[in-house]
Amino acid sequence: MPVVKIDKKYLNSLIKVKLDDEHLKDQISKLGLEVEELSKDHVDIELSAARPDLLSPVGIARALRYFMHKSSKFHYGLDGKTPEMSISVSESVNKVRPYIAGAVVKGVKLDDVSLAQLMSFSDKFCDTFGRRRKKIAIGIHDLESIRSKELSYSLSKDRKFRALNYSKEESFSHLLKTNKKGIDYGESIENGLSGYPVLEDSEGVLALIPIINSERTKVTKATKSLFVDVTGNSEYAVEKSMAMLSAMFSDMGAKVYPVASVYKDSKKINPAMESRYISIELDMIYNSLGVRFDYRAAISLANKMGYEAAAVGKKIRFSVPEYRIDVINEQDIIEDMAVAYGYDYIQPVGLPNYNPGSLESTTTRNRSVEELMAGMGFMQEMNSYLSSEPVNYGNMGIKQPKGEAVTVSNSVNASISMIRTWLLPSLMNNLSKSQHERMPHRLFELDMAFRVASGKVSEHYHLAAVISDPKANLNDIKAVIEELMYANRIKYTVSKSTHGSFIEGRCGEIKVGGKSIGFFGELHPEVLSSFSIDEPVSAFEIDMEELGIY
Amino acid sequence: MHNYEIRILHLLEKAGSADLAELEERSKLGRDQVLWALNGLFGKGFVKLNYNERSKAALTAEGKAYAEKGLPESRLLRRISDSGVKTDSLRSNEERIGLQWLMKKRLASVDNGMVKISSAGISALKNEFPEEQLLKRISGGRHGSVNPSEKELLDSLKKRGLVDIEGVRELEKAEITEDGIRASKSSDEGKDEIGNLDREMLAKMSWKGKRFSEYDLSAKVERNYAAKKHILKQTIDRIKDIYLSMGFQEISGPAVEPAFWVFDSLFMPQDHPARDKQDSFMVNNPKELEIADKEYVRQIKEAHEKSWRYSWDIDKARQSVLRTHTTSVSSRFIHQAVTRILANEDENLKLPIKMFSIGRLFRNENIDYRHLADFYQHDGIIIGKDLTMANLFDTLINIYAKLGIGLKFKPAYFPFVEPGAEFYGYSDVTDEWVELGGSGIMRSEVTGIARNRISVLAWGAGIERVLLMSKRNGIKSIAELYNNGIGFARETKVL
Repeated sequence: MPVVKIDKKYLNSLIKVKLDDEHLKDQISKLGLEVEELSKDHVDIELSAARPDLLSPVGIARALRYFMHKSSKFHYGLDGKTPEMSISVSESVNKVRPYIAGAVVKGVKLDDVSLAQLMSFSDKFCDTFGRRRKKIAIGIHDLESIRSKELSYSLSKDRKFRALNYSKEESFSHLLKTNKKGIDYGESIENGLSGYPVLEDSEGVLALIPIINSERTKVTKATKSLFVDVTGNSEYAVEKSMAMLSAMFSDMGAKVYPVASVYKDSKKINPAMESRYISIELDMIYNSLGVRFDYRAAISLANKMGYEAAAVGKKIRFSVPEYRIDVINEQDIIEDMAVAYGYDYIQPVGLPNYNPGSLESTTTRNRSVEELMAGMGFMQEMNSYLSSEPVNYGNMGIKQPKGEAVTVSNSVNASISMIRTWLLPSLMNNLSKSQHERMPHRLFELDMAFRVASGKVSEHYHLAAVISDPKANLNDIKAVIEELMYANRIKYTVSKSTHGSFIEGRCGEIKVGGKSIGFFGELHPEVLSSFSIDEPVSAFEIDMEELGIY
Repeated sequence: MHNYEIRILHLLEKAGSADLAELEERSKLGRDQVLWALNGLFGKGFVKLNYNERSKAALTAEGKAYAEKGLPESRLLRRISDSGVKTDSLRSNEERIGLQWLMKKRLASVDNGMVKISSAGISALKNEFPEEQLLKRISGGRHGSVNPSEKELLDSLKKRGLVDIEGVRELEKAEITEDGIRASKSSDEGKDEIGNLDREMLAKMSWKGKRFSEYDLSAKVERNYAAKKHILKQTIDRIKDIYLSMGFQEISGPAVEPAFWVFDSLFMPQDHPARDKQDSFMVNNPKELEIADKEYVRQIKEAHEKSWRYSWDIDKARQSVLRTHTTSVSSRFIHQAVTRILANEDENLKLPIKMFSIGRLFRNENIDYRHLADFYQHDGIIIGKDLTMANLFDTLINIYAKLGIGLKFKPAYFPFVEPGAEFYGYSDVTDEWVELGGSGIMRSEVTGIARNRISVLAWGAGIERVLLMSKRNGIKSIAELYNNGIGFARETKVL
């Protein structure tokens, strides 16, 4: 989850209440956020993925003010009704990035700190909620450098423009290949690209969307008015994000005016600042939290989380603030009530036991087999399920049967490409790491092995054991199988077999009821050498699901 | 003189001198007893002891890692060989260690913010570093013996904390002195004393009327290694028994799943960052897996499209993945249980139903000697009417109390629960609260039924971490528990 570094002085100026360090940290953590570090000048906060409105210092300050009952402004409107500007949206963007919303913001006061925090918020928001700008991207321009009231948003052919912080003009294609943001975010528009999404005024390109703005409309400390755009592939997310930005600029002391987006068949005015209402019965809150509130307490807790609330019949009606993109339904509000109340104050309440507990039959079976193996002097090993073709097959002297293994396509580790199909390679690795330990080495593992057959995965418990000492031979391991079978009263037969991992003539197949369930034998010297094992090894492995013990 | 001392002294009087193996064999005493007797005789001035001294080296965890992948400085040297690298780009701990050593060994220098290779560095590149050769030999060697000529190199590895060196003194030969010969002649071993009792003595009762020679109870003996269950398996079994005692029924489910059960059914939108290919292993054989319940698929599609406003894609849900949490098992079960409850609402099923599962999960992360890509999780669910956060906290507090761990809860976000809570346990190893797992009340979008009819409490938490919470267990990292030689298992504590 993202961590934001916030200038403490700036945050305090937004909260407008004097808080000492301890108090600040305490309030932030009560909101459900984590203070990573608190220094003289900065507070580093680990943010929640769930609340994009808390990605900015402005949003955090707003939430803290509610939490301390210092704010009772629950609604955000606009400062004008008629659109100040309009964006005509060409159908050509439909396949790439169909939606755009704009807003005009006047009377902003920016300094080095607030400008940096604004830009860093925008990046964090587009990276997280905006899914690396694929879903949402924000553009912020100096309004006074825009030459016309009518803008256009369309797909353009490759052209040149002077991008932000560039001294000369570069082509769109060049920027996508060489600019850091072009490289990082280019893929969000490159899919089947037949042109470049561009926002323009009468003079030319304002932005290559969602990559980079123009140098002409660069925002600086001196900027007084802004043009803000939000683009994306979900109309809902675009409009909600715009509403959230609008509330943020209002809280920064600026005035926000609407902009029209003119599509082929419709016209949308943004920011759309309409409150949603969700009503919840008090009983439902009690039945979720186990804490009973009366109307007054419930309303006060709601206010603490920034909801305006009122009692309506048996219900509480919550007004969901415009910037709370994350609230889907009443379940989200109930969580906020729990946060406002404080998890520490929820008293644990026990539940009755109506049904008896039970273990799976594989658990009880495995426990008895483990006891038996330990009783025969075998130490239990636990190994990773993840493996690779060389370990699972090559080192064991066998060819990989086509399509047998569950394989993965995107491992970040060269040593992982599949899940193991058997346990013996893992135990050989254990022996290899035991070379300097006192003999004898008797090891077993009872755990899962995975195979694919006709498009389905079988996940079976296997039992494998190895004996390594200067005199280890086939009969030592056969004696173990004999005891395992006798203790479980299982009749089995063995027949001569060949297996790439074992010495020819020293390998047997184990059958129960005529069905092959495993094998045993003396490991081939080539296999021992590929694991750097210096002493002879005998081993067996059986498929527990075929064994018939329950 | 003790009987053993007399016996050894007599042997030496005959032989003049002998090594340990000879004395063991002829005296019929154990090695520890012979050594004890020789020490006593040495103290009295009756024997001279000649020792053979050597060093025995063993790799530390860091040493093992370097033996496998090479020293940080040699890896760094290979990287800078052509063009040099910027010092700012060297951020990781290992890169910084590497740079320090390159400077120290004068194999590279820093100039104008760039690390540049020196002429000594270029020639060092031609061969494996001598330290690496030694590390490999120690790691491959059976006893880790080291030649005296390598002492200096070995000391430098020890200073870097890559090897532990133990001086070993072995007795080569014991020789009798003049005083010893005199003492031997004038002493007589108690002829009537019995050493090892045997079958013949018992049968003939020849032990009657004789004295049993005494053992030295302080003699050092070697441990009799026990074969045992793995410490992690012991922990898993303990947790299963705790659930059992609290009326939970054990369930399990597949590790290879269609993304549907791991993500979609748990209300994670298809563009959710946790589904990013970087975090999850994508399976390419079999590439897709079927989702049997068409009606439930329809419900989930509708919930996603209504709440997240996007077009839900069944193909993305069929993609097979290695589960990134065992909550997929809970999710399958909740769906089955809710269907069953709805089918006979005449209270045949007694609520609450309590379930748990324990299994492996997989994360596509870089592995090293501290980090693994698969480990265990336990997952619990309670299905009932009007289940509250107060019930959830009570259940978790009880489970962990039986493991000796106190809990506290904090608000947290998981897409499939609301309200959500993380729980933390107090670790006496780090003296701080450590995150153990996540919990909450399942969203109705997951259960497919309104919360005022059926509610579901759910949680999931790592298992290995339980072992890391207390100093007594002596476990330092999760990865330490897996892929070990027999030595690790012999050294683990039993729970």
